[in-house]
Amino acid sequence: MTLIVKPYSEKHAIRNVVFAFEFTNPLSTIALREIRASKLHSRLIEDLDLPQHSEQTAVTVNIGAHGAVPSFGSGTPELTGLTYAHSKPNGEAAWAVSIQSNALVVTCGDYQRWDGTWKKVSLFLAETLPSILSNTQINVIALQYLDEFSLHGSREDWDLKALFSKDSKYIPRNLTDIKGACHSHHGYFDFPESPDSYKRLTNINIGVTESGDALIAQIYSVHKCLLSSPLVGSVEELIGESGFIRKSFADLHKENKNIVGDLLNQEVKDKINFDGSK
Amino acid sequence: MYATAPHLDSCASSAASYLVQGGPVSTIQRLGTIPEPSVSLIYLPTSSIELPETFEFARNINLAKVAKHIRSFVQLPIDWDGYGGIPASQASASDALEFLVRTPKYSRIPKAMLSGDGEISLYWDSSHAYAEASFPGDGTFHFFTDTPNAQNIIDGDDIDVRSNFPADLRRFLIHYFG
Repeated sequence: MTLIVKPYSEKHAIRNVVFAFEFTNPLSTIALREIRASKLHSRLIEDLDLPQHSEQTAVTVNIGAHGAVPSFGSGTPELTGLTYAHSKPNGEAAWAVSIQSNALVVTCGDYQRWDGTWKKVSLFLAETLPSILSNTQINVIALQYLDEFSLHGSREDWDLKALFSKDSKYIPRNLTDIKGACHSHHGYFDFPESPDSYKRLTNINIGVTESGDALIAQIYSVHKCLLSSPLVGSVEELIGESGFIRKSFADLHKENKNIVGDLLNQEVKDKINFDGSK
Repeated sequence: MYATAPHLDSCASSAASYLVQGGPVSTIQRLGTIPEPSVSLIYLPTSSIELPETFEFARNINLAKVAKHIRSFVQLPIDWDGYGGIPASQASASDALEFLVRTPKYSRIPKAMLSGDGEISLYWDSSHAYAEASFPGDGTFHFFTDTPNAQNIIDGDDIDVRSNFPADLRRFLIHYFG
């Protein structure tokens, strides 16, 4: 019996993609309340088709010094995040925009091709970034992918060489000899532009779990631009054709494609038309 | 990690790097209130493990360690140093934590120290440079820097801890501690 390798969806293996921005200063509860009361709130829910709205709150507890009794700060929960989403039938987010006190996160769980995905992400960014940038600044741009494959077959046939390239420089050689659950986590900095601009953090974490007669292999990759100074410019400029945000995400996407392309063996890449799509 | 799947609760706490989630309803807690697990599932003393900065979660885990250190200064007894030292005020600790979360992500994270008069400071130290920011507890901080040949040194006084991080200090930290 042979091992059958299946990507997460029919056309590709991407389970979700996240576009994230981290802030220099946390958004205050007041700023989050203002966003909730603004036109953006209804735009996201009604016009941008993210009808599931939820809010995150936190309660501050003051730890008493020298044996004093701990007390609650204001006593009322503080608003720390707003999330707008549209779910798939399985409960995972097809699309979500999450405005947290320290980050803006756009999640795509319905990935098609990069151009179409970016087009939709840029719509969300055009709406949300003005409210963010009027309250704080951005000093991290990040792109995160979760690729998933399942390997079906009897246990004696389990073989990770059916998925991974044994020559990949991003995994230890031992990994492709393993016949079951395992993991490999790898991370490093590099400076694709001048060091004065940003340094890039890459994490490539591979996890393989056993599930019945299948092995589930997840490739979780994160690419972060840690900027040397906060982003400046209008939202239109930043996400426009040659804008810094657009260019950064395109570069990070390309880097992800290089890395995942190095991880997978050619047979799998052919199966998902890796070199022609993504 | 920016948590995404499988359900909206996870999605709601997307910026998991700084946040923790608990219970059926998503709750977000700021850096200063990250709880300690009640039971350790790790056999080694975790304090002896140094997380490389290239680990995605390292920055926030290491920031949480510094935050814990800062909070511990408030709990110290009077005469903690044998020279009549007083513990840090809650205000000084809060200001130091506010500053800590604003430190540039490009640069290394600082260490914390307490002076005998109860003032908390955060500092960066190497053979090439030194930088220190101190928090008297009135919502402001002051800082100074030093280099072996005294080049590029800067300082600042009475800066609001909740304001944007000073651009000159950011440049210094990125240059010497990036």
